[in-house]
Amino acid sequence: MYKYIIKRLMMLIPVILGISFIVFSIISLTPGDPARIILGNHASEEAVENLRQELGLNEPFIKRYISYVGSSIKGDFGSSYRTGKPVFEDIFGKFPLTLKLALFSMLLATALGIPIGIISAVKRYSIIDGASMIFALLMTSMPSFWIGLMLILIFSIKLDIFPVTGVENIKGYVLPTITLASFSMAIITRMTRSTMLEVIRQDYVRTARAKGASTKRIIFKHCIRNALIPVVTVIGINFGILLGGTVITETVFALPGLGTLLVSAIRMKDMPIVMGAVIFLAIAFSIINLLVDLIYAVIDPRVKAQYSR
Amino acid sequence: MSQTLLNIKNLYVNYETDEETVRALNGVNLKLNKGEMLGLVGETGAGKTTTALSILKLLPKDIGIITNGQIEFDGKDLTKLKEAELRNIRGERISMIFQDPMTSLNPVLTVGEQIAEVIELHKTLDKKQIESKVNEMLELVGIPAKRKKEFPHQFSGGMKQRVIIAMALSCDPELLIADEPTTALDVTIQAQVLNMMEELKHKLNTAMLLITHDLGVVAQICDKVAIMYAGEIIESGTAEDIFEAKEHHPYTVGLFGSIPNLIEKTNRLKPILGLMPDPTDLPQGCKFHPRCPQCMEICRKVHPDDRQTETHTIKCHLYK
Repeated sequence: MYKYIIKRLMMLIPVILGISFIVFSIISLTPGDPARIILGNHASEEAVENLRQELGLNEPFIKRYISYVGSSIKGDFGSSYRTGKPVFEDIFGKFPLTLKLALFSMLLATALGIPIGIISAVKRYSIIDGASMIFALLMTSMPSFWIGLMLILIFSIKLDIFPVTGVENIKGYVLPTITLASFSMAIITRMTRSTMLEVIRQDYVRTARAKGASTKRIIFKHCIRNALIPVVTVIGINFGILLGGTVITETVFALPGLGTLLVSAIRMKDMPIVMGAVIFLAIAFSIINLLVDLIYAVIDPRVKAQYSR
Repeated sequence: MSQTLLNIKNLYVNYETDEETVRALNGVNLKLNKGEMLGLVGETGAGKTTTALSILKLLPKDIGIITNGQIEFDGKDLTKLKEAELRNIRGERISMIFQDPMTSLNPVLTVGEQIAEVIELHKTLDKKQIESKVNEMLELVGIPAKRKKEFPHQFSGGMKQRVIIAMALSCDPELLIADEPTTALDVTIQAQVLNMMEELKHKLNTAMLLITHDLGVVAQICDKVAIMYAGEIIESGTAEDIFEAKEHHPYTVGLFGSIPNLIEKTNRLKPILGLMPDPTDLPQGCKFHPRCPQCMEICRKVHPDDRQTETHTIKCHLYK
């Protein structure tokens, strides 16, 4: 098991090298001069050239990439072109908000999605099932910015329960969390329902009924664990997406999160921030994936047996 | 001594879906006494498993429907019992061994947990007593008790089948339904499992309904035999009646003709020509008539009645 974890962590190295090279190439090879963007249209040609020299932008692409990798191994990811602050100071300043939002919304999505999915599967074709499937369909089809705007309209402007923007207190998190959770919840609900339906038809469920177990016992003891494996995958993927991809929701609620930081850095060609943020997200995503795989082992002894080989 | 334990009377079961109605059982009559072993024989699709599942009311929900008939178990009609009452019977008084050991055990629970569950559900024992009962049951079927902490994927097919048997026997049931318990096993394991079941029958005086399409197995261990075709029992009697009597239903004759015989020299097997009738569209009259070599005019029109001589019953127009 430990061997497996170490092996997986070692695999992070090539993954991060690959990602950093791709992102570095995209930023370097697309048009637009960072020095010009930083100094603005009115700066003299001479000043821009000086800044280019200072930032090392005149060096060949490969040389710059190698020196970037070299200094990042030593822990120096550079400073933001715009603010001049070290990259990770910026990233760590924004990350807690993003992480909190992602965590809250995944908790909400899981806490609602799994039970609703189970109930829908057990009471298949009932009114509850129909209603929750229509609800799930709505949630997957509505774009999140629209959900966010509607929530603001109803709960902030009309009812004045929650603030329109900002996260000064816990109340501020409610609407963004619901907005972010809606899509994941719909996916989790549908996934849980379909895997439960699959599991309920299995022979071992019939064996359990033949033993005289009640429906409740069968669902809790025999079905849920078997049905959860694909659901855990979906939860992991959605959590990863939420860490990096909450830009739209952050914009709607004017929250200064990691997504917003990354997008504005891309716009400003702020290479150190883009690189730092992408590498950080890649590591976070890989660790979540590893956790998902470890949770599999807890749920399913067959998977555990594979890991320890 | 011979007290009726299970009495199935005129049982009809349909599988109803939106597209079609499958008439799986069409008036099954079956009687089983305490401590007796009855072999239920027939081709795939004859309704053997459906018969077994309807005894425990485990037919697929909303699809498998008992449309008529009674299943009397120890004087009580199981078809009229409520779900909660049935739960007390399932696993304790009637238990079942399923066809496929590979899929009949839950992959995420240890075999010990799965055996313990049935004991926990029906007996009031503390944890320690349950554990020792689990050990006892595993030893009974020839599995070292220390393996109870292992998961089904760590067992071979034959071992899994033994676990299922241990599970089915742990509450000393009065009736054990074994649905092709040996079909998924190879021959050497088959013999072991059959010997074990026979031993257990003597030890615990359990009545057994053995579902199989293997006549050899039936000859080896059954007291009584019933032969099923298209959802009906077309011939039944003691093992002697079926294997030694002169008069047989033509289908039974065909069934025996389909087995290779090592003693008599024959060049070719004589299979029954044709296929089982489509259960969504059963023929009129005798359901076997399209395949019957001795088909008469009456067979096409009139459904035959049982003809009973002592213990031997045949449903055929040939015998009056």
